[in-house]
Amino acid sequence: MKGIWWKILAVALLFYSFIFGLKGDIPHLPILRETIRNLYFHVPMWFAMIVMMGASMVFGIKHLAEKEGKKKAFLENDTKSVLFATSGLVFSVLGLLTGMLWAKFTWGAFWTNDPKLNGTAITILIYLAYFVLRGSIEDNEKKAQVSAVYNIFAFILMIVFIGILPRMTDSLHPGNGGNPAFGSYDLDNGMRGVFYPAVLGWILFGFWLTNVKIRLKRVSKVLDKKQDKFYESIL
Amino acid sequence: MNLFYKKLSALLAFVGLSFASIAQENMLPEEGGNNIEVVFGVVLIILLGMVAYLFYIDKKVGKVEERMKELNKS
Repeated sequence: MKGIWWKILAVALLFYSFIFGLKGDIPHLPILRETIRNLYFHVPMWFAMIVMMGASMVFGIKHLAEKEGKKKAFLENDTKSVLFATSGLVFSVLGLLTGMLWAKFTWGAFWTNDPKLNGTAITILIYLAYFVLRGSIEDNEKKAQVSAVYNIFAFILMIVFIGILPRMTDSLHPGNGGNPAFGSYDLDNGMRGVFYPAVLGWILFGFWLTNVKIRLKRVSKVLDKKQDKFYESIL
Repeated sequence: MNLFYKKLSALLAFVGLSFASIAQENMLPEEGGNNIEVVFGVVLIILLGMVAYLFYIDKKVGKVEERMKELNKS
């Protein structure tokens, strides 16, 4: 297996964060109580999503910057870009679901009119539109060009909706709308020792997932080409 | 291949929900304890299954890649 060390590291970090995340000591705070453990699972989903979407945008830019030629014709960077976006979308849905459950037990409802929640929903819709856009264009080269440009806008909008706007308005989320962030008042060092490895573990897991998917796609493309050649030779 | 991704996504979603369910199960620990041990075991089994599945697919793809390289050489 290629580059196995980082895959093992991802697994080790995930197991570590699961075990200590569920069994480790936590600060006992009113309202939050045991639900604070969700910090180890809910927040890393967003970190992983941002990294996946960022990687998707980078490959989109790489595709746009590529010169015409054999490499560009094979749409390698475009394939990477779309597969990273898919992984990012998986993480965003997981982040939303874990967040909704957390909200139910701390804020009293699955969905509140919080700018961060609404921003996340809009972001997911923006990325779903990215896939709809791709599906609506027949020509592969054109599809890659248009979606790469859209991807840049989508990433910037995501940062605006998740990272900037909630900080400018009232929000229930810690660290937004004037609320103190977790880190500044109740995230003790014991929690930090689990939280950061969890973030790294999920990011590495996202890369692994996408890496397998990219390799599968590459293999299927080669096989499709070989099949086409075979059919051409017998027709 | 699409099926692979769907399965993996479903698995991830399930794991994500399991994480959140832990928070739910432990909301009222003073009212008769909690079943954290059971949840912990279930979540670990899911994680193990998820990782083993990904390792399996990774290895399979690696084998196909190697075979293709060999075929291209010959």
